[in-house]
Amino acid sequence: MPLTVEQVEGRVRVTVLEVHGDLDYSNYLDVISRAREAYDAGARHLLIDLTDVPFMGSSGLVALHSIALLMMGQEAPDPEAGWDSFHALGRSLTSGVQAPVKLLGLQPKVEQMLERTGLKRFFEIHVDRDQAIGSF
Amino acid sequence: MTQPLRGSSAAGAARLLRVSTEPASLARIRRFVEHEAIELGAGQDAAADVVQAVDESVTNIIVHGYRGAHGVVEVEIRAVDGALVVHLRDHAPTFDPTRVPRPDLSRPLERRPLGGMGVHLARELTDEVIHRIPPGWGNELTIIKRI
Repeated sequence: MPLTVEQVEGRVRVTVLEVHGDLDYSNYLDVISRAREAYDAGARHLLIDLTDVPFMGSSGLVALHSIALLMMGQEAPDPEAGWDSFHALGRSLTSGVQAPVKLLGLQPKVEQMLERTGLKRFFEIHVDRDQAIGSF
Repeated sequence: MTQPLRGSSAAGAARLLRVSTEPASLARIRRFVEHEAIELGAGQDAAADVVQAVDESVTNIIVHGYRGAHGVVEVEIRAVDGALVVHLRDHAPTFDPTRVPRPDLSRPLERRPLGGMGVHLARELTDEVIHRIPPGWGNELTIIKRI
């Protein structure tokens, strides 16, 4: 699946990871790997652009979970280990601490899936790229 | 042979796809289900819901059923009395996903496992999910969505 990474200067340097195409079990590990590469290269504010993702399976949730964790400087746990990483991410939303990972451009069915699985409230979700970058 | 729902009128012709269980087959299955669902009269929303439910279920077959080993999945879809009926058949060890407990959304999130979201989504997006063991197969999962 095509993935592009771009550095954008807002108030802080933001790494924009654009995902293109369906996100499912066949490619979710590629997304995690790309995010990990960005983190290892120094990225600390990540905007995941899902504008061009018409379908996301629950493997995509695992990708978002893992990326949220690694961007908080933690190793991605066994997916069976629990939602601690999401809870920590959610705490940052309510405490005023900027979350290191935000989402952009959720298509309706993708947003619906995040809602139905209780994941939506752990991410700041944007519809405008410039506003998303400026929010970090 | 697909049984009509609740003694209603006879089912239409079934559309069938049989693929190997490599992860790349998921996209092919999604395209097949979406196309056939629309052809059978489903609206875009209903078709998308069925596509998601099927993808989640086939992913579980690949990951948990065959555990990454080579296998076959058969996808049969038809319209029966105002509903889409999708049968997913495999030769994996018998597993009934309808027995997976529903996630308790009222529990603190740190006490919820991440697993089980696929089954949860399939239930949420469709009207009925039925498991049985037909002759010659390890599992058959039937997904029903009113259209």
